Amino acid sequence: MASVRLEGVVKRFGRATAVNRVTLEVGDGEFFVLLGPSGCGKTTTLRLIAGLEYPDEGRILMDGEDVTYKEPKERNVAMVFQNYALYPNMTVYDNIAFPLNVRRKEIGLTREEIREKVLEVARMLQIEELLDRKPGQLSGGQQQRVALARALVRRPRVWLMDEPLSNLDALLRVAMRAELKRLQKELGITTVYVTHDQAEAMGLADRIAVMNRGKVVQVGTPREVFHEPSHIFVATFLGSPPMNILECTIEPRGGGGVVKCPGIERPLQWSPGGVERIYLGVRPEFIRVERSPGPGRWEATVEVVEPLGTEAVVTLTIGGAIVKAKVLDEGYRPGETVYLELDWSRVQAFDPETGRAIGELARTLRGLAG
Amino acid sequence: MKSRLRENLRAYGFLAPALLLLGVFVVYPIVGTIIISLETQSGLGLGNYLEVLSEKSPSKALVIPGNLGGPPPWGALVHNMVWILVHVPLTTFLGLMLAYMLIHVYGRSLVKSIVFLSMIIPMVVGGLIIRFIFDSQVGVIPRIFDTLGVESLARTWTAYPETSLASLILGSVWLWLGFSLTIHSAAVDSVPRSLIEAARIDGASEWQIFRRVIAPAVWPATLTVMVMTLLWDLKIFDIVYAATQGGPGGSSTVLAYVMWLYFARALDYGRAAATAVILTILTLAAASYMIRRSLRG
Amino acid sequence: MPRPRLRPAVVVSNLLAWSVAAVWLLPFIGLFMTSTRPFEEVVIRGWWSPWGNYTIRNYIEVLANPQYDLAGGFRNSLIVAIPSTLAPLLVAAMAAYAFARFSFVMRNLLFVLILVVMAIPQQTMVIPLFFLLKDLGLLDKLLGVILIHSSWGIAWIAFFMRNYFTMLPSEVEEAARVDGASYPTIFLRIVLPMSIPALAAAAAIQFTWVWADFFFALIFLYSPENMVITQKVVAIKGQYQIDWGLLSAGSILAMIPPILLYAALQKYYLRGMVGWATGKG
Repeated sequence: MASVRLEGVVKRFGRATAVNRVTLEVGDGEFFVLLGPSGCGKTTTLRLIAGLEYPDEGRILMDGEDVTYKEPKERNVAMVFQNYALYPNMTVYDNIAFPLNVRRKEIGLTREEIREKVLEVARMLQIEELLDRKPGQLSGGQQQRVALARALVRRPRVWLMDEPLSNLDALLRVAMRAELKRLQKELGITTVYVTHDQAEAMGLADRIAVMNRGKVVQVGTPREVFHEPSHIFVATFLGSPPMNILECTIEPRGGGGVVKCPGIERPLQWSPGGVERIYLGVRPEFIRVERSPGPGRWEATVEVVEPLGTEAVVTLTIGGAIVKAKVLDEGYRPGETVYLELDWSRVQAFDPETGRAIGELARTLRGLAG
Repeated sequence: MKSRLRENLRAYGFLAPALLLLGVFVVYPIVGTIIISLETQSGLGLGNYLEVLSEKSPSKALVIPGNLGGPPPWGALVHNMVWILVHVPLTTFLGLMLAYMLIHVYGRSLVKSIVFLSMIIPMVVGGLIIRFIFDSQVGVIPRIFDTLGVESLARTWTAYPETSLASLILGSVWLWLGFSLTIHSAAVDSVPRSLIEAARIDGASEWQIFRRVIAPAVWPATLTVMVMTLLWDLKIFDIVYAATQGGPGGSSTVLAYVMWLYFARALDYGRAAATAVILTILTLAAASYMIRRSLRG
Repeated sequence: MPRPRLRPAVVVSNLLAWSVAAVWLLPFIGLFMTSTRPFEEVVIRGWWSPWGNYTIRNYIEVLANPQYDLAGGFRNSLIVAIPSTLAPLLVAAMAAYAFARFSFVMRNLLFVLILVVMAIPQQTMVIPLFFLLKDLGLLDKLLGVILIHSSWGIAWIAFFMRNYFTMLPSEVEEAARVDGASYPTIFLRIVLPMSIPALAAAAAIQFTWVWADFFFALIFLYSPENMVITQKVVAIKGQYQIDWGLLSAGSILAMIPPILLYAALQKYYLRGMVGWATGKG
């Protein structure tokens, strides 16, 4: 078990910069998820930690030891690949025993001890009856378990996983997710996990690093990145459907000010210096849809209703903008006129130029709620 | 950088045995041959090349201008060229046609295996078989012409200057068709069946399908076959040695055979090397297409 | 319901293809018939006549008579061909792995060298090699020919295996690296076992070519007891009168090993042939 630290790591492939000044700290025993769209550099980051690639700049440390240019085998890490990467010519037993066999002399294990360890992980993952088979004879879920067993058998310092569940069907994926979490907590192995699936990230992670275009945009607990996105990218990448972004302005009015959004207006007690453009973010979960008008409610038209069971995602137009709301399915019809109410205590504000969250402004906007 | 150095060391570790063997037993001899070819009594020069090119004796001449209007010998270089001009198109086209026809043929893999059989036997045996089928005592082809009453072709083809080169070239079609068929067949198999079926539904005749769908789709394979066949024709030696010894009267010599004559019979290493280099230049010119393609791939 | 009509194209294709197959098989049949008959009968009746006596005398004669000694040639050919297949296979696979997986200085230059060697005629090498082997005391020795065949085979096998390796998924090797395996271990225990189909294809072709070689043997082996089978068969021919019975028996013996190999490894064989020519495994 170990902590992992990346300091200003840069990796270029030709002219493209895959990983751009990434600095991260993964704590001992932590389940750390790298989340982002494809091509964001998350897999490259993982491969840099594994030692399968070497950075062009920066340092990588494990337990304070500089491993930046060390070979993978000198790092004592284990990795689970997206397509499992089992050795096709070896039996399941030999696959799991391989990491121990190749360094048998270094760690001083007898064949009998290796056998015990293999059987132990096989029991843990319930694949004892598969030990004599070849990978080609296994189902996807079984191959997955073998890959996990191979990564577990030697108790590595760090567990690295590259989308290990993405080749499984939906039901199995959810079941394996829970099992993975349980194993990781039981064994307390520091884990770095790469995925593009936000539900997986939310469910598994102690902390998430959201990446985009080679950079880490935000690091935080699942709650933090969901509720306090530091950047408009995080806000719109997480959530299903993602956060609504409204183009608004803040203008002085009277002694105070007003925030003007398409179809929505809200007075402020604080007075801005001049007219300012902002992006206002509201999660679909924090929009209420009412059938009757009232104070703080704004008229909108239902365009599309996507029922999800008890809930529904309602797409609305308001003042020419499109807004999605996730509400209880009350049988809304396209074309119907409804009235929106925003939960102002949950809104976010973003700078339209940089996309960064403007915390103070958001707090000001929220302070008026109630 | 440290990791770059490490990767270089690792790579050269894997390459070392191959580079050692290639260096000592392939590269060094090639360079040596070039040097020997340039060594003359008056220092380095092109003397050997001039002598080889102007050689008059029929068994070693590269070109015999006076004979070009009549029957062979025409000189080894001309024989190689005639060989290429007849053999390359014939083998290429036959293999391509046959590969396409095989789509419809019952027992196609057996047909392929039979045609390929002549590819896997030693080429000297191939040369002996050519000698055998064109032999007046036991061969089929002279017997057929005997029955037809064509006197001039009812004798042992390899024993007469008029027919010896022709018998070798025809025999080489028999020997090499398996290559053309195998490469073309692999290419035809990778043409999606739906493409052929679509053309058929569109009302195309079999010939049109061959001409418009198959031939363009397998064109890269056809090019490969042509270049490889050309290279084989340039380097041909075994079947000449086994069937005719370049004879009679030099009527079926080829470059590689002339090189051997200089080396093993005349013990003239300078001229042998010069002949080998001429052969190499021709070969590399023809192979440059394959080399460039492999570098791109 | 009427039976579907046989399309003319199908009929013509079958007729033509099988005619070609018959013509192509004919010389083999002729050779075989000639080898199993007393030569006088073959001359009088023609080998295509099935009537008359059959004999294995020709085979016994060429194998056992010291004048022909095909048994010795057969043995020498095996001694040459087996190591000349296995050694370059390993050496070339190693080199191919470097080309497929590592970046190193002079990589493109060395690859061009390999492609050039593949195209160069044997004639370009033999003169200096003759003197090199003489100096090494390996002239007229099977070991000398083995070394030359092995070196010569490296080029095309490396080319072929490189193309195969580049198509293998690299994740499996990366998994082995993370699992702590060294590169030699990965190569021997992961990559080579995954490459058995390609190795079998390369081995089949290389064996056939070494077995079939005549030119190198002609230059470098001259004592009767060191000659390989191709030399021995050609030697049966004699100067003026050809005994086709003996010559056909010898020819058949010389083609048995490659034909057996082809029968056993047909799939790999064709794959190797396509790979050699086009670079696609």
